[in-house]
Amino acid sequence: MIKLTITTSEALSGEEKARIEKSFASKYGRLRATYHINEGLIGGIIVFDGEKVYDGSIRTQLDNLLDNLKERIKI
Amino acid sequence: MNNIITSALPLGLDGIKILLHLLNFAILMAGLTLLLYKPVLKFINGRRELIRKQLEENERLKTEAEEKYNTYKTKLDNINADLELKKSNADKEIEAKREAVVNEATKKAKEMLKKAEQDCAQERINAFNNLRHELADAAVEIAGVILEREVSKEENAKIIDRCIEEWSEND
Repeated sequence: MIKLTITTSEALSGEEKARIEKSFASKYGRLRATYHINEGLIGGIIVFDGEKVYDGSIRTQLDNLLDNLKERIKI
Repeated sequence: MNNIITSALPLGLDGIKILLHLLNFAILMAGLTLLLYKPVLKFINGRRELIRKQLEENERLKTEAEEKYNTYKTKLDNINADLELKKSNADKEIEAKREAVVNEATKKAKEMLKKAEQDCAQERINAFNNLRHELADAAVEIAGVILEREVSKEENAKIIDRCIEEWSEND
C-alpha cells in the first residue's frame, strides 16, 4: 500500500479528496492518504508518495517565476 | 807797489792771494778727491747694488706673486667651472626626478581614476541588479499577496484538478 502525503493551502472537501485519491489510485493501486494544511502554499497542491514530490502549489510556481526573473536579470 | 795793488782790489786781496787761495782750494779738492772719492763711490756702488738686489728681489717676489695669483685664479676658475657643472648636473637630476615623480603620480592618478570609474560602473551595475532583484522579489511577493486574496475556493479546486490531470498525463 502506498502512503501519500497531501498538502494544500486549505482544507479539502470529501469530494475533492475522493477525486484526488481516485486519480492516484489508478496509478498506485491501493493507497492511504494523509492530508496537511499549509497556508503558505497560497493555493494548489503538493503530493509526496514516499519517493517523488508532485508540486503544484502556487507558492512553488511563484518561486520558480522569481528564479526565472533573477536568472534573466543576471549579467 | 803793494799798496798800489792792495788799493787796486777790494777786501784787501791781491792777485797772489787769489792764486794762493785757488791753489789751496785745488789742493783741498785733490785731497778730498783722494780721500773721499773712493769711499763715497764704494758706498754709492754698494748702495746701488743693494737697491738693484732689492729691485730684483721685488721683481722676483712680484713675479712669484703673479704666478701664485694666476695659479689660484686658475684653480678658482676651475672650481667655479666645476661648481657650475655640478650645479647644472644637480639641476638636471632634480628636474629629471621631479619629472619622474610627476609622471609616476600622474600615472597612479590615472590608474586610480580608471579603477574608481570601473568600481563605480560595477557598483552601478550591482545596484541596478540588486534593484531589479528587489523589484522581482517585491513583484513576486505582491503577486503572492494578491493571489492569496484573489484565489477562491473554486479556483483553488480548479488548480488542483489541473495539476492532477497534468501528473496523470505525464505518468
